[in-house]
Amino acid sequence: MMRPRQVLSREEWTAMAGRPEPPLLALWADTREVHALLRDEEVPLLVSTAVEAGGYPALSPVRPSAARFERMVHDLWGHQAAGGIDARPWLDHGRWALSAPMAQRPGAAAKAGTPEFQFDDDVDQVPLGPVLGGIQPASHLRLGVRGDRVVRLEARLGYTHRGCLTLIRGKSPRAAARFAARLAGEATVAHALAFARAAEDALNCDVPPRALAWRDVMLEVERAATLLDVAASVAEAAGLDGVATRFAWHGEAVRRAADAAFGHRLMMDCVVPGGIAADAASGGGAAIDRALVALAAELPALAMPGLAGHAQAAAARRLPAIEGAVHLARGLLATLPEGPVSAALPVASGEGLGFASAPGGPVWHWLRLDHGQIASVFMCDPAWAGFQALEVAMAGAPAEDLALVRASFGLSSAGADL
Amino acid sequence: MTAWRRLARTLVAGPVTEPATAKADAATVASLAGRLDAAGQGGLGRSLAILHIDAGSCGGCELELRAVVRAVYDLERYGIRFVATPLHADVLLVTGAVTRNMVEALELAHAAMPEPKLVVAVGDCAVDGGVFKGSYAVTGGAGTTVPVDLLISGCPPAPERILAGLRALLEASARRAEAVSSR
Repeated sequence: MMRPRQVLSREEWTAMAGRPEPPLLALWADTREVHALLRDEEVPLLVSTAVEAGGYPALSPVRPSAARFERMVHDLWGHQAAGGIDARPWLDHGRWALSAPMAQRPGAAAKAGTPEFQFDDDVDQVPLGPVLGGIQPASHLRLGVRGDRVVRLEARLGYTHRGCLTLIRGKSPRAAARFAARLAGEATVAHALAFARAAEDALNCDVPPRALAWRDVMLEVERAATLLDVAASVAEAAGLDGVATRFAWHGEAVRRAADAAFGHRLMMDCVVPGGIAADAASGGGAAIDRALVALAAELPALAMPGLAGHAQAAAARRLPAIEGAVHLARGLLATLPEGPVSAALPVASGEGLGFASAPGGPVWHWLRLDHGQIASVFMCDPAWAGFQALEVAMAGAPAEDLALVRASFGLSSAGADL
Repeated sequence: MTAWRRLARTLVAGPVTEPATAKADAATVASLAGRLDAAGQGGLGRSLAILHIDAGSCGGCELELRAVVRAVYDLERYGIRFVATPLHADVLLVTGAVTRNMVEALELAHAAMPEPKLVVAVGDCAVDGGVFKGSYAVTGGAGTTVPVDLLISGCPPAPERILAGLRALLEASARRAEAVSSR
């Protein structure tokens, strides 16, 4: 799947930074290098360059989506993005007892303070969050409003930063999988799977066919359940309570079937490096199949009339995605291979990249193992792109649309907060 | 599908809300009522308004909280609802290990609530920091920042468990209100 990581000289990196192609998927660092994951002809390309004099040439002047990654790299490792378009802090709100926690020598604590939002003078700023009411992830949304229109929305994240990367460092892949599974709850299977694949890629470990099939079943069951949760939230925000009830009912049925099969409603910790934690309970596959059949039968009738704009477009993508998940999972369940469900992981060194398709978009994990211990790791969640998409969608939109548009993106900040 | 057919199907299919099986645990109710009594606090009767704060959650507890609110468990039929501001919240419901970046928001919300300021920690992270204990970025469970009245453990706790905990809180509050009014 992956081409070997390329280490670029300063000149090569600068040349790459000056071209908009290939587009950026993720940017992160370790104590010595910065790493950029690029999407080159649908194949991921991982390139690195050494950090010199505490910095590296920024990607954000040409690829604006790199700006928040650069701010994160600065806050966690202390590396400066030279020439970057935004040098404000991102994860570090000045509340930690130290700065650059992942650097070889962390620094003194940063000064606490509210980040500066840059809006034109004639725009009214409306602050929302981090406590948003209802049942919402912690995030701060700053609306720049003129009359009843949103001129610009800027998201400020980092409130749920738990230090996941630091907690993973130094652990074995099996021990660290618990943290990957808790990066973002609505995509716990996808993150555990991408993490396991990265570890298996690093160690050239083959996973038994039955485990591969069960993993894909779990991934599709998670997709169906999570997208049903998002669809229910959209229907609630649009005032379509009857449809919301049906989405919620099916979501609950799918979660219960997952519980019957794997012993956990969210299937947390069920995917582990080398395979899956345990084979499904007897009758578990049948329980999942029943829930999916009932869902597929009613789904075509669950239209959401009256949605417009981004909410409508999101719903139009989401319902076919639920149908696709049902179809894939049922196909896998019908042809499950027999055999063991996990393989032992060798204790060795190496680097690996893992991918999984989460309900909200692609998930990428990268890690480097040093004699069986994780020396360096990064986990990229679709929330990085999702909040930027929300900002684009809300520019020029009526302020009253925010709740509905926000619901239609199904955003959770935890995945990007690390 | 025509509106008539949809209506007919709804009538035939019946309600999706399940009978209330998650009973409030008697010992938990007694202990909570004792806490309210010791604090000299009046109860609130048969209704609770909850403000949810994500203090550093992965989002798993939120999935289950939304399930508790929605049709199958239907939290509102017990008189428990989620609100948008601490100014009229009876209960602060905390999820997640408390991140240092959320400490101030949590303290401000707690300070803005009217008495008796009940606090519930939902999920292993909010109970004691869970797997994130010891990180530079978290202080630990909700109790490191605000006084906690009820712990609901689980990663995440299943909807029945959350429902049983919240009903125990409602029961204790109602019992206390009756005791105060009969004096």
